[in-house]
Amino acid sequence: MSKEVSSNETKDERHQIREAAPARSLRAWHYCVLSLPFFGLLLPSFYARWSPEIFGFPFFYAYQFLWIFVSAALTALVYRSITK
Amino acid sequence: MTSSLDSVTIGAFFIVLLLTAASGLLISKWQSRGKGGLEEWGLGGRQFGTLVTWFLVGGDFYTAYTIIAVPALVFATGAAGFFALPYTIIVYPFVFATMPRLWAVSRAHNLVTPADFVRLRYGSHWLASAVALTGILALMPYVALQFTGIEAVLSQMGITGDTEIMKMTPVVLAFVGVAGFTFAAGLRAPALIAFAKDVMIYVVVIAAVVALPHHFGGYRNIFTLASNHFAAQHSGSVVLQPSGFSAYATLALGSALAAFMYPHTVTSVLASSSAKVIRRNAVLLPAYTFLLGLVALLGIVGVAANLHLHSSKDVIPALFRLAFPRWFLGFAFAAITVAALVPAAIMSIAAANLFTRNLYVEYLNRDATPGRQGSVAKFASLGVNACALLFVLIVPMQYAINLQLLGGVLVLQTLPAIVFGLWKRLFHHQALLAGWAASLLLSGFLLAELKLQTSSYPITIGGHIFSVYVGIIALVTNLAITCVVSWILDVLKVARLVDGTVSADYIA
Repeated sequence: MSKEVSSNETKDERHQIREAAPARSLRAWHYCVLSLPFFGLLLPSFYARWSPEIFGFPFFYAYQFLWIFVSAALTALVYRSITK
Repeated sequence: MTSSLDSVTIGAFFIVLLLTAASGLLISKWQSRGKGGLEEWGLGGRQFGTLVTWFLVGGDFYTAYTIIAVPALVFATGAAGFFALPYTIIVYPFVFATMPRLWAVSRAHNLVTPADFVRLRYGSHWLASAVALTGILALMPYVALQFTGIEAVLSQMGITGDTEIMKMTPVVLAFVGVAGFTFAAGLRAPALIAFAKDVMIYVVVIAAVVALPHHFGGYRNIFTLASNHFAAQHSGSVVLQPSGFSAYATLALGSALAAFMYPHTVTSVLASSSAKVIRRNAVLLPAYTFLLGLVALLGIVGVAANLHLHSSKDVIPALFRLAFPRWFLGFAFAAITVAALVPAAIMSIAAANLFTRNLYVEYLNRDATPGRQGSVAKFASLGVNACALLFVLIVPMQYAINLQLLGGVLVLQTLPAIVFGLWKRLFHHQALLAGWAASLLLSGFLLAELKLQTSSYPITIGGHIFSVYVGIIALVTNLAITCVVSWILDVLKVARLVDGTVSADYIA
């Protein structure tokens, strides 16, 4: 953490800041991975269909529910990569 | 729909509410180790870890209004109302990319509101005031709307009262409770009650999605039944129709971008103890999205059940009446009520923070100490709650819904000032102000054209008509004007104001 901490803060707080800082920012490929859910979900023409049905759910619903997990996994991937 | 007073339901309802209130009172003694003043009252001392933040953002973002309104929209329109699901999925990658930077710079400079950041980054109190006022304006009807949830619940329980005053008494009492908790404990109060709220909502929703489909012979049957009903009434559909694609996508995108421009969601983000907490939560918060998806599906269940309702807002309470035993119905209604109180409290804190930092300190008392700011904010929160109460009592609920729609469109227009500045000072502050002002006028004009009945405006491109969310139309206009004006100012070699931050401030 290169930023100087203002002098009126306590030692304890300065310690907290340093501890909390993995000090790596996102790279271009991180942003690409984070943008995938936007492409997956913002083009409804790809998934606004009834079939194939999955567990009794029309594809329209099953596909979007599936993206909850895919999106969380992609975000977790980026998290892993910057907090090593 | 006939309603009858039922002593078991009402008894359970009040017992759960009293228990929640009592535990809230006990725990609000939970004191901080850190500094006092506004950062303590308005941001909980920036000490919330992963779990507390998860409950707080969950309690803040998935409100009683959401639980009532999303299934109501699905009940009325079918698939078109389901945009809440893509919206609450794509919002988290966006949070992951932007909010840790906002947290870092706020932590480095002790900033409390998004307008504080704009003030420091661009050096313009005009731009900061624009962001602050937009935030406060957007929040007021949102606070008021939380009480549609309580109203829907009370009317289903048969507590309607003969006069308007009797009908409003429980709402007024709820408001007094929120105002008192907030005044005394600041952000810690809703943070703690959010635990109870979220657990209760999870229990209720899971019970509903387990019990209800069984009632109607499973989901396959429900979708088929709903499809037949939509076809018979010639409106709505189980699968999104091509004419609805553009509105669906732009509503999802616009709502996702606006969600964390609302001051109350930013408040719960800035209260985190580290950027890591925010990143972890961007991974963990989609659990609530799954819950919201299940809640939204209850709208389809309502269609399949062929419910005949006075208002589509009654679909959730009506389904609960079908599915739940009487004591659990009381519990469920209490859960929805608490789910209204938590976000209402956080919203009033966020509005009070904005008032204190960006209006009071900026224009009235430059030298206010943190302690002084804390007490100003406390009284400001009382003012916000009083205004919201008046709003609820005087303005008919339909206007609150329309104004909330307007608020969402307006708050989205603060995105260029807040988000772009997190990376680079691409734009001049005058350009951002020009874009903001133009987009506000445009959104007001377009929504007035639509008579505030819907938020999608039909535009013609190449002979095809696309319905597009007004917020997105205004945002594109906003960005275009900001770019052009900024470019002109660059060509004219107009100097920029002082930037109070350095690039290392944004990394954490």
